[in-house]
Amino acid sequence: MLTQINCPNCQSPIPIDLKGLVGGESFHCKCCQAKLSLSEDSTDVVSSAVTSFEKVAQQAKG
Amino acid sequence: MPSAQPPLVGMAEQFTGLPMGDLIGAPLMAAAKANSAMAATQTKFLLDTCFAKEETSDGKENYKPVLIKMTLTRGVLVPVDPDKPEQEPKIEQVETTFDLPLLTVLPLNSLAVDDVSIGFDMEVKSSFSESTNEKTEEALSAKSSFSTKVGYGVFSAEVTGSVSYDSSSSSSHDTHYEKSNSAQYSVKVHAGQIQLPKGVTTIITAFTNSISPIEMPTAA
Ligand SMILES: [Zn+2]
Repeated sequence: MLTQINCPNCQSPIPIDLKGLVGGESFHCKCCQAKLSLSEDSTDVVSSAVTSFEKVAQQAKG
Repeated sequence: MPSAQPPLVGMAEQFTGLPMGDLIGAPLMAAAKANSAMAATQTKFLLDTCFAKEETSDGKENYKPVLIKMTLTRGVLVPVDPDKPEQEPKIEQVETTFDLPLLTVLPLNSLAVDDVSIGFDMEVKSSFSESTNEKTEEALSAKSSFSTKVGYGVFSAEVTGSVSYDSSSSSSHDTHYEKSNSAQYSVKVHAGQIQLPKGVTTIITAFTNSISPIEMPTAA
């Protein structure tokens, strides 16, 4: 599930795969090379949000 | 050339019976309905997942955005020795933790029906054609004889001969008249998803701005 977050350092959009983010992946800003990742404390919150989001998205398709 | 040709049909008449309103409108309406249902689902999802409901002391409901913790690691140039600024600085990786509203990372606008395309081609053709086929066959056979007397003084001679003429000619002649008028209509209706409502983007921007990391003042 692709999304993007503006780099807090330079404001360039950083494309992020939410599942990868939940899985502990880091995403680099192409502009300033800053590395963005999800803190372990928030893994559960984002993971359950992604699951609910997928359900809603599935509903949208069907 | 044929004398009386059947009249061609008027194109406009052919389309008057078509339920154009239904053809175009029905799919659009279906998409709009689906979109509005989705908007309601989106809102519910937004409030249930991205906000935490809490009750204030005066009994009112208050929605507080769910925040997630993100870690940003970036290189910062620092002097190797602060007393020697002429030296090449080194890059030090600095880790910053910041809170981000959950709703800003979910691709909410991807939930909507983003693309409705209705396309169809209509073609009405009116034509008539006429073929004429003519075949001529001629067989001619002519035989004639002649006899003539040619006199050369005292001599006489008789010349006889015959001429024969045999001819057969066949010609085929095809004429094809075609007259047609045709109308082809290509109908394309496209409805696209517009961006998130301005209000939602304003809220997201406000959130985003408020969570920009602030650098800690470095100890002197
Ligand atoms: Zn950046």
